[in-house]
Amino acid sequence: MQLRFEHFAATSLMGSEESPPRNNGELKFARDWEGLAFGMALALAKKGHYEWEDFRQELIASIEEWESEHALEDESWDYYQRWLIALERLAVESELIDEAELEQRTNQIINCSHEK
Amino acid sequence: MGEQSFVPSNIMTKYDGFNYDRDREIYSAARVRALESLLIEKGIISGETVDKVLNYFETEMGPFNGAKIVAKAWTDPAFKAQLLEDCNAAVSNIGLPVGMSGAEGEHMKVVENTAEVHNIVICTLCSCYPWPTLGLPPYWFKDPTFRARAAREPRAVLTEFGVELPETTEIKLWDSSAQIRWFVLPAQPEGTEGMSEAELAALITPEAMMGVALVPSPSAA
Repeated sequence: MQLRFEHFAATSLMGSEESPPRNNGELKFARDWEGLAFGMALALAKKGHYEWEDFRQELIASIEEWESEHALEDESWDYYQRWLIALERLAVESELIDEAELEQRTNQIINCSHEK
Repeated sequence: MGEQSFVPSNIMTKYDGFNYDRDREIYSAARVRALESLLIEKGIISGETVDKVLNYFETEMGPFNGAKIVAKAWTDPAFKAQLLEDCNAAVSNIGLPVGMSGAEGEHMKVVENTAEVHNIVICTLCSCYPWPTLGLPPYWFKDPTFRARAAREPRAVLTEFGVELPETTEIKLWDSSAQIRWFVLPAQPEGTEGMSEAELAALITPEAMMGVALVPSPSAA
């Protein structure tokens, strides 16, 4: 587990510049964290913490929120940001984590702290 | 790097407060890692969980499956009939993954392109997609403008993708959802009679299986 932190600290917080996996010429994930968010959303459903349909509904809501506040062509559109929002909401709702510890851990990572 | 300390007041709803994309990137990347580390610590997932999921998509679920299915349908009329009737059964009969229960592939259906009908598949609400046969959807499939315009003006969108259809060809739109994930059985191009399944599969792209491209004849490819 510690290896992930160290690896993460060693690479840029901006996401990996290494070339992500490609599929038929199309990038599967443009940024490392997208794949991570994707994998977690699936894994948690597979492990029975929520139904995949619950995630889909959160995703739909998250997308709808963005669309209601932006012109559809707005360049700030970022699919995996919407995915991440859905994932976090569901993780909190499923009582897997709470907001406070997520924020705290996020800040630790940003500040490259290795304390737990 | 790493000097700033972010303390947002609530989760994930304050992106508009970030002035710089770079800040948002740092925040998102850290947020995802934080989530993963917490889940691992609580024993909800392991350090290998995400890699296993991603690896499955590298090796088991991808458009290579869809291409095999299409090539087989072109060369085997009995298989094609079964495919159009019961896609999940047909797919599992040739040893391909059926799909994770409850997720994107549980109920897949195929629609056939002919001279009279051209089919396009979209998901207007999010990004529903038949993962076992096509893998993960490309970014443009999830784009809000694509999703809206394909629903409203499919013929114009097709033109932009380089697909010009005769006026007499009907365009049918299929909106994937929780219930059904559609994909397209493209029309077999001319000049491919007598080709092996493997040779045919090499011509078939995920775009063709979504209906935004035609499968090119080998001479044109």
